[in-house]
Amino acid sequence: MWHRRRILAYTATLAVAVFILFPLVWMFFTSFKTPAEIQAFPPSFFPEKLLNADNYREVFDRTPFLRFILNSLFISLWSCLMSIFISSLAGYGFAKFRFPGKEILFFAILSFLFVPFQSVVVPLYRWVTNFGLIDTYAGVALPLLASAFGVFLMRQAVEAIPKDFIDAARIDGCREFRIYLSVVMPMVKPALATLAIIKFMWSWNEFFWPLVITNSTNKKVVTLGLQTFTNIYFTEYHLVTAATVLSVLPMALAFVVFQRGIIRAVTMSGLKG
Amino acid sequence: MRSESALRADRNAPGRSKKARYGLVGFLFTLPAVVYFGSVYMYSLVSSMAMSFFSWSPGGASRFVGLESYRIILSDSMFWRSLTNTLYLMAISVPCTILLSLVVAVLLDRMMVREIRDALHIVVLLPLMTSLVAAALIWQWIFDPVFGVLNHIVGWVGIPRQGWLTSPEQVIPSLSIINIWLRVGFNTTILLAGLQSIPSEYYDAALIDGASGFKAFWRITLPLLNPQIVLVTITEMIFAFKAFEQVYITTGGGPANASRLIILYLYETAFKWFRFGDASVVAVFLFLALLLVSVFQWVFVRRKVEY
Repeated sequence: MWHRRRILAYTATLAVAVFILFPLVWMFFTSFKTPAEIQAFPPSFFPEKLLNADNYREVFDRTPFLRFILNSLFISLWSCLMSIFISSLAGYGFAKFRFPGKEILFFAILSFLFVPFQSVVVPLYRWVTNFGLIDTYAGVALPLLASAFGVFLMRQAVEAIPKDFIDAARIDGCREFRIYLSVVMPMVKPALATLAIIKFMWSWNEFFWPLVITNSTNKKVVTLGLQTFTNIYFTEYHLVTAATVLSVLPMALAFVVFQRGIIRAVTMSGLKG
Repeated sequence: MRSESALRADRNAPGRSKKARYGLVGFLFTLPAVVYFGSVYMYSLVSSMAMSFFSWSPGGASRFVGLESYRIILSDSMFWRSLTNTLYLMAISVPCTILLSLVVAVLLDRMMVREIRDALHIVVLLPLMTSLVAAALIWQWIFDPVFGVLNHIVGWVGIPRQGWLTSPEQVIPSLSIINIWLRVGFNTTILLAGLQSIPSEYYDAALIDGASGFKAFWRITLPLLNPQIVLVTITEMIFAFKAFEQVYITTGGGPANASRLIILYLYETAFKWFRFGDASVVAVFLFLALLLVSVFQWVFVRRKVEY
């Protein structure tokens, strides 16, 4: 019985791993194949020339893909930073102070965890148009500057700080903002890291809003750039896969580096209930 | 702790004004967030509801039309088609994702070899880092009826070529596969956390009582895992409901409107046909539907958390 269970478990593990990894590996290899190889029957697993950069070169020739990547980076970093700032300030305010209407405000912000973005996109679009922010970096970044999740996370994190630290700083004559910067922030570093990772990931993978807001090519983000090589008539798979690899690569790298943080981030984002 | 009470007495001595000052400071800390959410999100949400009662021309002028837009949308067969397509997608992808995630979570929980366990966990989380667009394109390539590798593989076992994303019958199930692939990691992580929080004494007690293996799983694990299962189910339902990128970039709603999902319908009504009033009706509908689901979750979870 023991051995059968073990074998079953390992087979299941293998099957799951193959299911998850195969598409990624397949995409990776396809990005090095020539159109002729792609259309060959039967299809070969490995490309003829590994690390054949032709497709990549064509992607960069056809579109300002590097610009797309930089745009995504810019927006994501900006969203990340603003989020950390706004959420931690609010988290501190909600966690360690008391003022009338505090709970109402907190729940009002939290309620946006349940509001789908698509329900606010039309008025937001008009809002942004009226302010002349259409097709600008500011316009794209606007809905990404803070998240209800971030406020919730930071409040939880700050709540765990013992009051004594803050009181001690106050006795020492520390000004409030200084307390926030020097006492509170260093003590919530794990939560800040979690928030940063999540925000960066979400912003990098955004598609709907940039699609609506962006017109000119040089403002496009990576997810929009992926559209270039596919249309209703045909899809140039050799280019699409190369572009997709390029879009996934930064996140994959970050993933490998921040493994632990990402697992913790995912766990915390799900346990928000 | 004399110093602490002296502290408190000190704080209260000046009475209200100091308390009020601290209150104001606290409020000021929350102000950026409050202003942001108020002006960007709250204003937009309320506007959405207001906009649904008007008809909007491209210039920006509006005309009050009452419930006319509601009537237009509710009598539009494409709206209902989009809704049923979306529900069909939910009906397939949600149970399958949860089931697979449960299996993987149990695998991870019971896995003795730490390296394999960590490796598998990382592996299932990998799809999360791809954008929905990238994932959809990857799978579209695999699903390609002529050159895709899936048709080649099923050919090995004698199954003829399938249309997958190009076949009206198979497009929603194919999209479900993409959803499952994307979401397994996230749900597995949540369920694993739940599994690991079940004290082993419960299993020991069960063993003494003669229950083990499958019975223990059914009677002990599942009920205690209930909060996480409910959380994961609701999250998946919301995710499936909001599906957009996958169809926009691959099928565009086809073939024959078989994959026209509700968000795609909203997108096209708003940004292709520029019928903002009608789109706002869909937006309101979306908000209410998801609100219902979330409230349901909150009520449900509170009831069922039993130890």
